[in-house]
Amino acid sequence: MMLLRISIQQERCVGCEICELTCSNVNFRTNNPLKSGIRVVKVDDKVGYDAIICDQCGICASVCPVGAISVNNGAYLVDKSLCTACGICVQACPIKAIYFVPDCKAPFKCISCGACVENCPTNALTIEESVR
Amino acid sequence: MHGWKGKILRIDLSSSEIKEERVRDEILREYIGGNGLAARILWDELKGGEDPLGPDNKLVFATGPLNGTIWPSSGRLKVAAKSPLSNGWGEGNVGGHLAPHIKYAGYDAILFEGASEKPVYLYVRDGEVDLRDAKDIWGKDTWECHALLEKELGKGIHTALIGQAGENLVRFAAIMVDKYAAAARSGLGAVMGSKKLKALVVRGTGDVNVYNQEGFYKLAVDAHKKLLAHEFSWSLIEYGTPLLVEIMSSIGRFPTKNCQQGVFPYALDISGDVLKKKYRIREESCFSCPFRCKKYHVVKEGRWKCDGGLGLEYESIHALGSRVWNRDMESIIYANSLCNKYGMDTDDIGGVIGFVMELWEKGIITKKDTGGMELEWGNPELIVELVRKIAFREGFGNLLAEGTHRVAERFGPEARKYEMTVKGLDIPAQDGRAQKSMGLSHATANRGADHLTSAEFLSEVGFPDAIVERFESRAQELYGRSILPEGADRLSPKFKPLMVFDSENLSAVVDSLVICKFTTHWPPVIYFEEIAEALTLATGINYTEGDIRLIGERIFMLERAFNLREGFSAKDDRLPERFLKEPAPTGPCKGQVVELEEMLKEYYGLRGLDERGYPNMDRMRKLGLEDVAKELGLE
Repeated sequence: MMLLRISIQQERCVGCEICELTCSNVNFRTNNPLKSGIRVVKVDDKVGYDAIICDQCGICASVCPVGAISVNNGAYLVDKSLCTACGICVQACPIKAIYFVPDCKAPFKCISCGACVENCPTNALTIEESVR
Repeated sequence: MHGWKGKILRIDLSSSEIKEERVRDEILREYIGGNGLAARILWDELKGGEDPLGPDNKLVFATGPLNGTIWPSSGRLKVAAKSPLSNGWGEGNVGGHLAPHIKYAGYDAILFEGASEKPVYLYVRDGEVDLRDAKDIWGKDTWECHALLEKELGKGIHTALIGQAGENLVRFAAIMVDKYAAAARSGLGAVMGSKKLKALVVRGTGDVNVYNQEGFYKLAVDAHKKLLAHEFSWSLIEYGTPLLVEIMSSIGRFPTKNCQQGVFPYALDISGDVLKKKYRIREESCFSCPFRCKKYHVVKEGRWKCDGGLGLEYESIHALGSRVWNRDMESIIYANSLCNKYGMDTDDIGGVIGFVMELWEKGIITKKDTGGMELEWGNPELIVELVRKIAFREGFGNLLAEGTHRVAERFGPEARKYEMTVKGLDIPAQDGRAQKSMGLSHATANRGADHLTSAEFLSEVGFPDAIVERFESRAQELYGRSILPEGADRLSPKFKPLMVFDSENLSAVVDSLVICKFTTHWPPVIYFEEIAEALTLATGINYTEGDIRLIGERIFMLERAFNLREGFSAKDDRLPERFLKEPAPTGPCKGQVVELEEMLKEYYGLRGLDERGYPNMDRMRKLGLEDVAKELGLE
């Protein structure tokens, strides 16, 4: 199966949060770094920042009891109409890249749309095809 | 509500009462936010004559409608109060990520009044707000304090803190945001200390919604791309502000030895290039900023071995370097990190140390005055020792902690000749004799000697294209001739009043949005027209370019009115004697003084001020400030 994965070169990340704001605008129509499929985290002062990004491993889809997560346009996507918000996928994600915030009805994750890659000012992000 | 949250948080530290209040729509519409909102609040709620370090002073942390959005460089925060340095309008401006989080938590501004009996800090997470005991963090430096709060409250918090200098009411104490960014000027850290407020801690998780999300997003992304593509941007990205050290010394604008001259012969020892090659380990951006101008420095070994932290700026390199004749880069990194930990404005630290070094050189003070210290120029050990003594108000440091102006008064008229201040603030890192618009800017800035109130950087090295784009039609309209060549000539006073007037109004708007001047003034990408478009899409209120220009002028005038109410007048729009009477001794500006009188006269005309420095009634009407005019007793 052909999948699209976004990945980060950690040493290029400067913590500007433009990727999060881009995702928030493109996929959630608001400005909120927590409503984003990519999360910038500060490692520490010396190392700087890193980002948590879904690697499209598919574990979330395999544990979903109602089959609400499946591949769509090269990435695992949560179908809000099927999701029961049980939170099992959030628990199961090995890198904690699927999120559940109070005013969203269903968990969300990176759908590899690539908008953040486009806007990153340091070119720290890349989008690549991978075969699973 | 779009862009804004429409709410402020009011904390009475005397009674521990916490209130959420709505802000009137027309205040937001007419003053935008940031410094405009803070100026309106402080004008309305203070009466004039308050003790800046007493419970009657109020301290405002104000955001604007663009904070928290994807608009470029929208992480800046405005902090304002009556200043303990100038006894007039006081403001600090700081980057990082705190301002967006205040918005995400649901507020446009947080206002502190009264004073607590025991040390406290405020913890805001979304709508949940409480004042907490600060006994475990009182006495700690800003880095320790931030770490303790993170341990207690978890990662992801953003903090505005004071260090020991603020606690000890050092008159130029700063408020430090997330350890390394400073709301440095005007002594607002001392105001926080006087209220026994150690920290403001914020964690916000809500949305900031704009009126036309799709249109706004498109415009913002476009602005990001334009900024990155601008020809001046690469140097800012490559070096940050330290890139200026070498350039400014080469044009004689780099204050050296308490502003005796503007050329530092050892500028290459303390340049941006040295910092980059020897000490930089990584770089960082403020919120939603494409420029990553903050660089992290470490001194790996030797006498000044230290973790320098993030963002040693041009201003600080000057203050702890050329201003005090210090060519030792490692000691500058070290002293700067101490200033950040203790929480002090480096400009005023360098100002006061340079000042007493000159008094020592001239024999005006002796060991009797200094507690036995010998104040020789350029001694790194002495500079670091003085930084510490000032923060803890030890010995001679206790006097210096009062700031240059008060030290000068103490040592009498002979000393006052060398006092390099305006309205009680030390001259920052520009010698106005080498750039006339900066000379004027230092004199007219509402918070005192300041380069950022106008941020007139276009004539600095002469950017004729941008100058023509911004000023040609106005020059033709007002003077019937082209802005060039004099507009781009830093040594010519010609056209500088117009450029400063315009630039001050632009700054007033930028500081109300609140965004960074590294997107509007240098590189000169975003201007009134782009701001009008962004603000219209963000708020749903139809702003024209003319509206935005008027708002900028309104905010500037209200801050000026704040000073007038405190007894300021034309006599305070002055410069130190040195810049007016002592010709620059060296460099390409050799022989120059600042032609302040002629520039000021023209500037007063543009701003609608009379000889006393008071605004005329027509202008106040035009600006919608009739109520302010009435309180000032204008007819």
